[in-house]
Amino acid sequence: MKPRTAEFKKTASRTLRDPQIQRGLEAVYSNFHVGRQRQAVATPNWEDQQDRGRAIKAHTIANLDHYLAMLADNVESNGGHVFFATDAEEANRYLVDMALDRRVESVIKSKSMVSEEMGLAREFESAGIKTLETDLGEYIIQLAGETPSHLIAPAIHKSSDQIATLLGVEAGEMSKSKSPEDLTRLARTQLRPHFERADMGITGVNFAVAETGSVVIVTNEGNGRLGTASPRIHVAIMGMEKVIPSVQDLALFLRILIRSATGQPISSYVNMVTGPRRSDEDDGPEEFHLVIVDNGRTRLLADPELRESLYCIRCGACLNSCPVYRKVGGHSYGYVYPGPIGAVITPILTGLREGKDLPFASTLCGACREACPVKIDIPRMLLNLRSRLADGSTTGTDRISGRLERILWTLWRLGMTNLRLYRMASKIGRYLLLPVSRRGWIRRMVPPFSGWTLSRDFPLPARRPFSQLRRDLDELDHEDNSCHDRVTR
Amino acid sequence: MIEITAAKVLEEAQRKSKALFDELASSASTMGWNVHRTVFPDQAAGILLDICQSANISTALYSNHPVFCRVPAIATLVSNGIVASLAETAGDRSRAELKAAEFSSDLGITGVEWAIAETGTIVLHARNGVPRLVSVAPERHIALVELGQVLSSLEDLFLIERLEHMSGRLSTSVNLVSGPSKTGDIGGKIVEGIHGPLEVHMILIG
Repeated sequence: MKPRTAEFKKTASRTLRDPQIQRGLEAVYSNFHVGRQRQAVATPNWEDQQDRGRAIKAHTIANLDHYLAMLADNVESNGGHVFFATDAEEANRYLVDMALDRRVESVIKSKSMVSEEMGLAREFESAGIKTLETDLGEYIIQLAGETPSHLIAPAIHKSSDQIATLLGVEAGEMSKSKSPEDLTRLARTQLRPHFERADMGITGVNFAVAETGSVVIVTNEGNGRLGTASPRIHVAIMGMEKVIPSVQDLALFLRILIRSATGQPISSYVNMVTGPRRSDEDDGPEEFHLVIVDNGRTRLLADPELRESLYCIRCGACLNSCPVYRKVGGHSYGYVYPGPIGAVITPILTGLREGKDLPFASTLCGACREACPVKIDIPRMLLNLRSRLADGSTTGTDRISGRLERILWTLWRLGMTNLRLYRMASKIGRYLLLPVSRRGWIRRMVPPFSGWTLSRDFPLPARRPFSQLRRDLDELDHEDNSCHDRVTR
Repeated sequence: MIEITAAKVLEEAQRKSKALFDELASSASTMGWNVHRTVFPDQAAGILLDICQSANISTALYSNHPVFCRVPAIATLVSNGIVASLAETAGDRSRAELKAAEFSSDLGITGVEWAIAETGTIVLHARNGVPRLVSVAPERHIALVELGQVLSSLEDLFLIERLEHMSGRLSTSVNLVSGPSKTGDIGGKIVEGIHGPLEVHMILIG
């Protein structure tokens, strides 16, 4: 997917003015986030489970090569194929070549964010292989020619009317009813024949179990199950950070993932696939391929400050809790991963300078860190990225701060660390600002500070600052005490 | 070590079987299962027939689970005019024919490997005689759960699955099913019945 991170401000402004998208984003909050909060209270040992989840992830990421090797060995000894792809292009080429070789004509896809990074559907279409998204939200945006705006509910920005039109165009006739029930039924009817006939099913991977060589797919719709049961070839695509050590870890991870993502105790379906079907089984795929994708993740792995972003289990809880995401929506972030986690990893995966607005799209309120099931410290990483952008500590070209900004910050630092300078600056400041103030408030500051007063007023520095009032009070106290002493003696 | 813990888990599943049945009935109901309960296997067959007749089922596929030896479900359906056949590729039915049958049947009926009281879940293992599609392709699925098959938590289940793996018996497709298929992708409103079954029934027997 071609990143559009540089368009953050423009897309955000547009989204803020769109009442339909704002309604969708409110639904994200009231359904998913409120649901997650309820589970956090209702689930026994919730905090402990999150701590353990984080510990397992930390251990796995610290030994990633070991666990990926174990995973690959086990997939292969189960009769599956493994391909390690350095980047999107390599992954696409492997899959297109393999599909053409196996005479694949039609493909059904379940949700896979990594495949969005790859732009896989487009590559397949160019090779003449029809590819259909089956996750209802992904299907809707495929019909609309758009990209997902949320990790879990990709079409949350679309209204029922818009969806009815999209499905109607596809069906060749408009549906009379626009109710979610009837539209869902319509989509089911449209997609069902494809499940039966497709040659290849592509899924993402929620967890890959190193110990057994299994991949685990979590859905509510059942498209994951149909996609791994009906076609003759099953392809699972994963980011390389998705591996966990043991099948027993799944109990914990499924619990914290699903409760954090949607507020459900568990999803309708959890499917653990271990290799292709055995020869005496009545249905199931003949071939299983696991594509393990890097695509910039080794940069995150090599970075001690940002490495913990690889603990992410893609639940979307940080998006749902974020007051900024809830206003600007997923498309503003310009890449596959929106919201707080997107703001951290996207600049590293696609370019820090182009993505410079993303680390600043945050109030650092910490709601994301609170909501994260593996306790990733996103605000710390956002601050770290901001300082890289300000001082160019990663590469000189990343520095975005201008000379004026650096001069102003130097003056600020001097003023804040020197008491006499600070007091003098306050007095001078008051003297300078008095003419533009009215009744102790400044409605409009001069540039480069004018942005500050766009939506609020700035108070005039007081004639007698608090430190002065304090000193005066102390003197009064002192006099009182000496009076008191004289009287009581 | 793991064998000892697994033995404890299995022993508890037997010892607390009634209480676990109660817990499962409650959690499954919350997750959207239609839960039915009876002590007698014959009555289970009757319940199955009622469900089929209410839903106008004309064709059904069932799996080769041991529960069908104890519950005369299939005989009951067949004698009431419902075409019920075993979902397998033995004899003259090819894989292609089985798949076509799985996509065109009104109903899939299975036993279960396990159920999980914590989450209202049944666990299915694909193997010879238990195809993947029979529980997910038809519009309706009925699962028969017997007393003693209910585990307490996800931890218990995955401990057992780990033991299966260590004994070389891990199924190629392990499925945890916890209700009907659903989506919230249209307007954030939850709708049941997309892709997977729109109606699921659990009959607790024992």
